[in-house]
Amino acid sequence: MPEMTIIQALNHTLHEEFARDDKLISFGEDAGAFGGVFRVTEGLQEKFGEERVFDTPLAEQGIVGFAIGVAQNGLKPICEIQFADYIFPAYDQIVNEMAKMRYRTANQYSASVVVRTPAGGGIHGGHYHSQSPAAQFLHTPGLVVICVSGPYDAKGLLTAAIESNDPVIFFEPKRIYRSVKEEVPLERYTVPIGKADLARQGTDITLIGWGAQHHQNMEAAEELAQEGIDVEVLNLRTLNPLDEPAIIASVQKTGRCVIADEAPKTMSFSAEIAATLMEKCFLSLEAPVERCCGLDTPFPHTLEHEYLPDAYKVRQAIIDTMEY
Amino acid sequence: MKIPTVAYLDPKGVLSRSCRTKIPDKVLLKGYRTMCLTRHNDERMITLQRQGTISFAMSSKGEECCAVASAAALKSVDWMYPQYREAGIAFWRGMSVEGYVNHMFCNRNDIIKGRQMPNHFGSRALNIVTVSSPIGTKIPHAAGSAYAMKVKKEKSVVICYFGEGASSEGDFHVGLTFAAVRKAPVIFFCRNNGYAISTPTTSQFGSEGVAPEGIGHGIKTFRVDGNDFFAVYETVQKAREECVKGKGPVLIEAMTYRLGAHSTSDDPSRYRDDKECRKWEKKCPILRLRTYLEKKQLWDEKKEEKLQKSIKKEVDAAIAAAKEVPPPTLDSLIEDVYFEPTPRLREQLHELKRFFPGDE
Amino acid sequence: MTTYTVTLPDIGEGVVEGEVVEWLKEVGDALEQDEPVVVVMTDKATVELPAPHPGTLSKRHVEAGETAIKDKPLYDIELEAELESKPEKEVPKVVPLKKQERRTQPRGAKALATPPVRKLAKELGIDLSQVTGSGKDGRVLAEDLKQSVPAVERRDDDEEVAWIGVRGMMAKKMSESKKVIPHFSYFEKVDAGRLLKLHANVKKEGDKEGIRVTYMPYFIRALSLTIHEFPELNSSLDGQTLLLHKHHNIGIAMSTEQGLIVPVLKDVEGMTFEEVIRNYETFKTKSAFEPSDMKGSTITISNFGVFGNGGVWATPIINPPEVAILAVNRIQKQPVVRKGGVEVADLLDLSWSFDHRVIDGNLASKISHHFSKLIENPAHLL
Repeated sequence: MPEMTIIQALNHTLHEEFARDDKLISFGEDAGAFGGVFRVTEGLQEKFGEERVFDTPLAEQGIVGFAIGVAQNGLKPICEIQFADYIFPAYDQIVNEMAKMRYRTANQYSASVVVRTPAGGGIHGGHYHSQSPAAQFLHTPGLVVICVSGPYDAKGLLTAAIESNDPVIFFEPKRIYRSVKEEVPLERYTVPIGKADLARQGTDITLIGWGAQHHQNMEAAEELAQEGIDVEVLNLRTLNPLDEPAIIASVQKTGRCVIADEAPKTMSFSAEIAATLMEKCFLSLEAPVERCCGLDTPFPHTLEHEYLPDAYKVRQAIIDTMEY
Repeated sequence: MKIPTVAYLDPKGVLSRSCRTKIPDKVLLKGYRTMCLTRHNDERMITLQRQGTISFAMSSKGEECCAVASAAALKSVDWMYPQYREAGIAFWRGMSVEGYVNHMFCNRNDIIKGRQMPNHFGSRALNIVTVSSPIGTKIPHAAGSAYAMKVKKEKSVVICYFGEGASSEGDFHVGLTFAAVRKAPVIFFCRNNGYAISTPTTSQFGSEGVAPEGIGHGIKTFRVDGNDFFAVYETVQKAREECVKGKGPVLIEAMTYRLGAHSTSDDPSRYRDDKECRKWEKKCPILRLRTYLEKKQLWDEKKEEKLQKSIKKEVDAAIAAAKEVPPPTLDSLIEDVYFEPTPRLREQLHELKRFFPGDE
Repeated sequence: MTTYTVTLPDIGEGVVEGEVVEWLKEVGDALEQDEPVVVVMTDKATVELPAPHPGTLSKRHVEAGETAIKDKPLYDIELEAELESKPEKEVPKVVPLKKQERRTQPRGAKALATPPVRKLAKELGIDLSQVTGSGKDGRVLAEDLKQSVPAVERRDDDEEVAWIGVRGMMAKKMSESKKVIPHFSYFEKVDAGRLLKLHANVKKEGDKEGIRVTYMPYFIRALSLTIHEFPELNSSLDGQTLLLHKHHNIGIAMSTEQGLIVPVLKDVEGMTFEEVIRNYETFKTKSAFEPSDMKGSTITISNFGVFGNGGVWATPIINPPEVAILAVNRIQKQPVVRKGGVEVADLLDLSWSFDHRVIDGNLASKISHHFSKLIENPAHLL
């Protein structure tokens, strides 16, 4: 089985799916002839033609608005927003049209679009190449929101997103685009949307994360194993729909929880998870659910290392929770 | 519709007789020096990035004239909204090389405290509004800012720079519309440099360039040779007069070419022909102005050598100084999010200091 | 001459490696400051990397066609001049936090409790998992804590034996029972002379069929007959309702390797004496008890005489939700006062515990008396 990076896995998936289904269309800024600034769509235009794979004008509002129309009329668009930081001109289209299309037309029309976009910090990207804006979309009913951590899940969940009847915002953790390598089967497979991965079993505390943060979490868990704390690590993979049974079962078992997220702490998705755990695991909690997140500031360039909730901070959050 | 391109100084440095505008020698010389400084500084910054010393760099290679000549035609009270490929405006208005390089190092002496990526220059003192990465977002800002000037009855204008790619963004449309309807004294300066990262103009719009869009918005529109110091200078000067007279906004489309990569993260050999570059190198704005100046006996080989030496020395010193400056303080992390940091933010900073007790 | 090792720098945006495409300089070549030295290709861009310091290229760590890794050596420069002993711009080193003393958390089955109760448990030094919750779904309430046993001080040289499984369950149940039920003890000596004579015959009959008859069937039968007279003996108290059980499910306390178990001989009320003997035989010779055998008792008998260790009386602990338990000893020769003199008789010692919420002294004495009369005149058992 070949080893792939996330980029390779995504590219491979797109090639496979485009060959399989001629209703697939992909477009975005520099995502046609150039293959995307991160090379995710490399080779697609050459193989499948300019009508199906093309460069758009510099207009995120247009990319999504256009995609909605394409989807309404029977094709399947996979559009790319070059950086999640630039998704906001498209926010009206996503929130008011894409998310509500099926609902407002009582199932006569739908906007089954996949919006792919690299998100997250750690590459010296400053305010505009580092944001994790998932929460802005999680607060909008009607959107499926996915954030993978590795190549195997990237292929499985992109395939599932393409199959999905719902609009999907597919966040790609740019920091680990190339640094995480895994074996990826060449045969077609899906990873179910809405199912978290129990990456590490443990008994003392539940650690929840997603995207690039998951690797920091695993690092913290391995460290703590040496110190006698047995951490159970959950990788959500899908943010909405949230795998409630998995997180509830885990926290009912361990009685403690830390949620880690790069995004600013206030209104990070971790707040919703914490509220859910409070509701559903109240009697099992031996300590408050702790959230290890970014600060409530724009994502800084130079002080990025200080800002991010790395393995070291996660470890301390776990220790604090164990000692509560 | 046919929109003529204003051009006076050809690539060989010959000034057309149809040019009625007299540019003072000292302006031309300062313009030339500033363009040279910009180009050299850009190259040095890229080298630093390739050495891993700074994280990112861009260059305005080939487009220095768009920035410098337009800045030369304005007054210091005029506000400027750059996109990111106009570093020359900062040097024209007097930003020190050390100040610029400290910003590129994103260190403690960076005027924006290391918060944004390098190449996001700006200075309130110089009336240059700090760059931000998203494309086109400044266009409506410029319109509003100009309108405020009008309301306050100030005899000044705003200039907003952007590439041709920005004309595809919704912000371009709304910015022009608002400016047109409110008759805001703003000059929309579009550097049509042929590419938006890898996207050529043929994939960017259906119109013939950006100028027709100005006409479509009911705005006075000019098209100029962006590498021609005289054409740019004269047109911006004219545009400024229009604005100050209350005639409304102006769109200038400057035809030019991006000789370098989009940024240090880009490799243009992957999407364009070297031949094209070499063709445009011959139209280089610095080269043609130098040739003109030499013809006018205002410049020579010795002066050139002296200039390049002094520029290199200045940049060397700025880099050496910047290397010694520490990163921004931890406290700066929560400043300026709001006018005053909130209690929540103070708490978060306090928690953060647990992990970094040595840092201030 | 100092050697400076140039590593593959962070070319940007998460690039972690690159292929060396071409060396622009050979080993031994002079390098000027900022002069391009090597061309590296990543999947984003092909870039020329310039020398950070002037000197001589002294070693190439990665050849053309090979992959260079970010932050790993790429080439060495023999420096012209000593670099100022200024350290490389350091990423602020995080000062490791002192590992704080960790309070040992009691482990064990996760109890259900609200945060205030958890706090109270911690303050009282109580291990929540050891407390039986009387709240909804077995939740531990604050009141439960007040009745609970506080955590025990440990000495360094204590030997630790796991008190789990059957033994752990016994500890829990016994404690529970004594907490809730007001135990009232009643003792009685019974003349077992006639019982012995009867038993001699019954035993012979039993031997013929290969059944080893003990005294237990008599006690079981006598208990069942006593229940018929005094139904409160076979009941359970549920709040303000006393449930009188129709079935006489006699729990027989047994000692095993794992500890004390109480399997249940069910539906004794409908059995004849002979059936009691036979069913008890089947029961006690079972190789293993099923879960259903361990549940549903309405009253319990404990025979500590079988241990053969002597003893006189006991104060057995009632098995909730039952209201009584009878402990019997070996029938022993003991002095007894008869017709004004002391004689030796075969006596059976009875030790009853009654739940005084249901059975008071008066009823207790009646019950014991009735039972005793049956043992003393065992013909009534048949």
